[in-house]
Amino acid sequence: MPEATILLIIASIVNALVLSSMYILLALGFTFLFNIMGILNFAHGAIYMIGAYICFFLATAVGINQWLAMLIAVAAVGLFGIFMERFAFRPFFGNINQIIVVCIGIITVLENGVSVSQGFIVQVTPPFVQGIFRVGIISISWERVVIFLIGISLLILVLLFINKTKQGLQMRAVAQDLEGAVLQGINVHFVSALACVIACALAALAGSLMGSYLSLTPYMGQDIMIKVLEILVLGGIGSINGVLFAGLIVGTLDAVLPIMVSGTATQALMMLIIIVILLFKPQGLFGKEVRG
Amino acid sequence: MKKISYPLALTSILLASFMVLMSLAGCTKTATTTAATTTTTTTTVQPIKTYTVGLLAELTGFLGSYNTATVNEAQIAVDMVNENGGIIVGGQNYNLKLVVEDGQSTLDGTTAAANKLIFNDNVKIIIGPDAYFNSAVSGLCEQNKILHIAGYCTMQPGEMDATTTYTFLGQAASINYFTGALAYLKANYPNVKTVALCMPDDGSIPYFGAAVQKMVEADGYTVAGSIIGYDNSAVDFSPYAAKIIATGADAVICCSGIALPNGSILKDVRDAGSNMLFVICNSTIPTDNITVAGTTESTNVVDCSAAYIGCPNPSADLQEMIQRYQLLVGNSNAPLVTLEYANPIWELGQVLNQANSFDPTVLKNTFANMTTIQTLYGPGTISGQQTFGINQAVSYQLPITTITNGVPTFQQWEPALVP
Amino acid sequence: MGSMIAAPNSNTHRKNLIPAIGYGAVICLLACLPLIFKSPYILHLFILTLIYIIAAASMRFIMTSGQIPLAHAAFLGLGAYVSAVLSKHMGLSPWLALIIAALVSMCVGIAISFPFARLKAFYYAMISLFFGVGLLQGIESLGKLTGGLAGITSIPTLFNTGSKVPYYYVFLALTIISLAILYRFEACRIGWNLKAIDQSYLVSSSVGISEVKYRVLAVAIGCFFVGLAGGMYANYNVTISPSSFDTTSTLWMIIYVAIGGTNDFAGPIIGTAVLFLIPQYFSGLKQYTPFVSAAILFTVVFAFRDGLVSIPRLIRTRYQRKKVKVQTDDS
Repeated sequence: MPEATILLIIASIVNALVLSSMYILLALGFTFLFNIMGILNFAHGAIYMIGAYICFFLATAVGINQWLAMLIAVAAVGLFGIFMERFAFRPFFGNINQIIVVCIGIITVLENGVSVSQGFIVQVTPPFVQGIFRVGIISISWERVVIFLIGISLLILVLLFINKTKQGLQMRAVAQDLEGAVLQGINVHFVSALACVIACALAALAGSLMGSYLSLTPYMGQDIMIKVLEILVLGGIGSINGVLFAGLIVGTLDAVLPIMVSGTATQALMMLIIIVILLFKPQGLFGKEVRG
Repeated sequence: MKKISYPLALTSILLASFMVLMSLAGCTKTATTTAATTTTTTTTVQPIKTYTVGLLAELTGFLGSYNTATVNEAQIAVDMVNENGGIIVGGQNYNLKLVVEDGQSTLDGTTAAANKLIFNDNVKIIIGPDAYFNSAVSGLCEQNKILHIAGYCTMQPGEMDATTTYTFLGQAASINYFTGALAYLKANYPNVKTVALCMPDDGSIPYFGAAVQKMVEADGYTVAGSIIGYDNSAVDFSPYAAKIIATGADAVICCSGIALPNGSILKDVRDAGSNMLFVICNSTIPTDNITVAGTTESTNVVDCSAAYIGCPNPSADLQEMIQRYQLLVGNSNAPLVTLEYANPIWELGQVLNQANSFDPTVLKNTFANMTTIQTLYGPGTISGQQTFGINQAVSYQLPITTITNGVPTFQQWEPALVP
Repeated sequence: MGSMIAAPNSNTHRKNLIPAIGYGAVICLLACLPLIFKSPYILHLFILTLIYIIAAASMRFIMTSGQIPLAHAAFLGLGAYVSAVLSKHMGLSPWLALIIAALVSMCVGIAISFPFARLKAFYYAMISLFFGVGLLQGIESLGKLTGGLAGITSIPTLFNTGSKVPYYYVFLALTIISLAILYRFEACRIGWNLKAIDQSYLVSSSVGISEVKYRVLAVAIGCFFVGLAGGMYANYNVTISPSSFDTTSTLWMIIYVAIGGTNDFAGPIIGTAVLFLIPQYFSGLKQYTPFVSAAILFTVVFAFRDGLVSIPRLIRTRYQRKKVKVQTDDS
């Protein structure tokens, strides 16, 4: 059936693009925080989940428009980022063990709190856009198109922010050399708080969108963490530019492998491929070469 | 020497104590709800003894919130059994009482909980657990001669087979939903010749998948391609939808799983432009699948699921259960869950009364010799020799629903017998 | 009692006598536990605690070299699955399967660590994270052999009796032996070299300490013991499933070590005991039990930076400070 195969190939290309953009959207906050502040925010998944639930709650129980709900969720979770930076990251800066402890504590409280209070009822945020976009034999839902566009535009926005704005420049300075940045008069506390706010806001935005695309579960954050870590490591430490290519690789693999092998084998193969890539380029595709 | 930051220490201790208080407050809250339901039963004056039955549920972890609800249903079932005359063994009246242990949604957690029930709580009857966790419990019950009425079965080795003589399946496992859907498909969709089979890749494909494929082929269908196994924790199910469409089958059957993956696959298949017949058979109710997939995408769907609110002519017992559950939850529109622990308890009451004994060996012999039993869905048959290797699975009628443009329409009650 | 490891000198033998008597007393107490607590369920908890103590202590051993083994639970799982498959499907004696499981775990650990031993420790951490996930996914996808997500059941046990008491004593002995070996490694030259590499690879390589050799050695020893613990777990528990060996379990092991105290040999022992047993005590809270663990985490991480083992020291220094203050006030 050649027509079916052509359809499959086109569908795979579309899936690869949308998945790449989706993963970039999910990973953006996490990689941003790590590249700027050197903090591995294990609680990223839980924050993503809380953003999704806040948006859902606002859009259904309070009844406001879901785009507005998303913005409010993003703002609220962003503010929570200030709190997280002050109490979770700043006291334990540099000590990865303590950060893991605090992050796991936050994850436990958030996930179990939501699980206990929400129950099992299947919940989905009202869709942000509806309808299907059809062109020839290509058929994509507008929802996926919107996710794709938002993912790409956010990546561009973040890149512009880091490279062109004053705060972005300060963040790069802090990332390069903390002491030097302090000597230059940069308010490191403000910079790291801002970085946390942006990271949490990005996570909440991703969560709000995914809350309507997939559905809401208290443990949705756990599923994305491994993808997010893959993108971080493949993209390269210290380089946001790598996020684009890492996202493309992971997204393409995830769109194509399930067609060839079965579900769990896909994940195992993907890990194998990633480990092989890292064997040759341990610092990631765009990371800086480091010995030690 | 490190300095302790006093304000921070103080706030953390306050936070910790607040959490503990909250936990304890939550604990008393659940205690009062269960107490409220049990006080209604013991209004009689005669000395009625209580008999404790163990319930193994997954109260934390990914099945946590789901099982908390099914445990509530189980408690209602216990109340209903007690109010219907309770248990009479050896001329003495007994009321059933549940002791619940948490399996933590993991195999080791379930093993530990089973150990705790058998050796610490000293129960002789265990109800549950859910999903694929029976493999941890059945062997243990067999070794220690404990009557085990399971709430689910994914046909993995050790769950329920010829060696687990003390294990019974009291609730429609994934296979019942499938047989019901297949029978309805055969009777009402003669144009369907090829099917694609789809299920979660959780280790059950060599067992459950093989059994399902055999049934499908025995009914004259051709299976297009191999069984499509999806990753339950996938972020996007479109690649699986593409794979399903590429098989070119007339229909796709999602043989098990939960609403999130099944609804997402339905959504992705429709969004990709295919209107192939979509059959869902699992315990999630049709409205959940519609919620995940969206109203426009939920069309040309046949759904065989657990009896949900809105099915006409449920049994009087089911109506009672629904009313009490909605009262307990405080929501007159609350959907029922699957009764996966409630049904086994309902059946246990009958087995106990018929056997007139609490000895698990006597109970298992009585149960194994019964051919019919009452379930909350109506009369049930006991079968399963061909599928499981042992004749100890309870089958009963299941509702078939078709979904068109997001609207579920009840079609009929399907016998859904398991051979 | 679990004090920092002192540099060996002539006074050490006399100083070591008191801690040795202390340890002896603790061991005797532990040996009497099955007589005090007859319930099999409590014994089950203690046995699991012993297994996790070996896993946490071996993890901490790897951490002394600066590397963070984010695949540690996966190695526990590797040991468990190897031992399970060997003893169930190939009919080997569970004791033999145990040793082979430990050796396999060690070899795989070496294979993973060796290519990355030259780089910053962070890369080993990330690689081991993915390797852990990949290993687990690989185990899950081998459906017929490993049972996939549902796991393996009916694994042959080490003892044929139904009682848990022999398991407790044998595991207690194995734990003590493993801890003693790990302690000796850490106290001798190998341990010092590992700490030197952790602090500065440049300086240590300039005095001739091969960072590759010692990093790989640390991982090998750590993985051997965690593989052993995994095998013990499989042949005791009769059932194993992938969900107990995922990344969350590794993170919890790190928490056991961190809460107990990373800088102290006794840290993982105390951390495991506290964080594993206390929530079990509160298991009556059912779905609210995880909040107890979270409360412990936040309390310890904010109030006791060096972990729980630092509490006696903190109390001592506060008492000494008070004493000094009183003295200076008087003078």
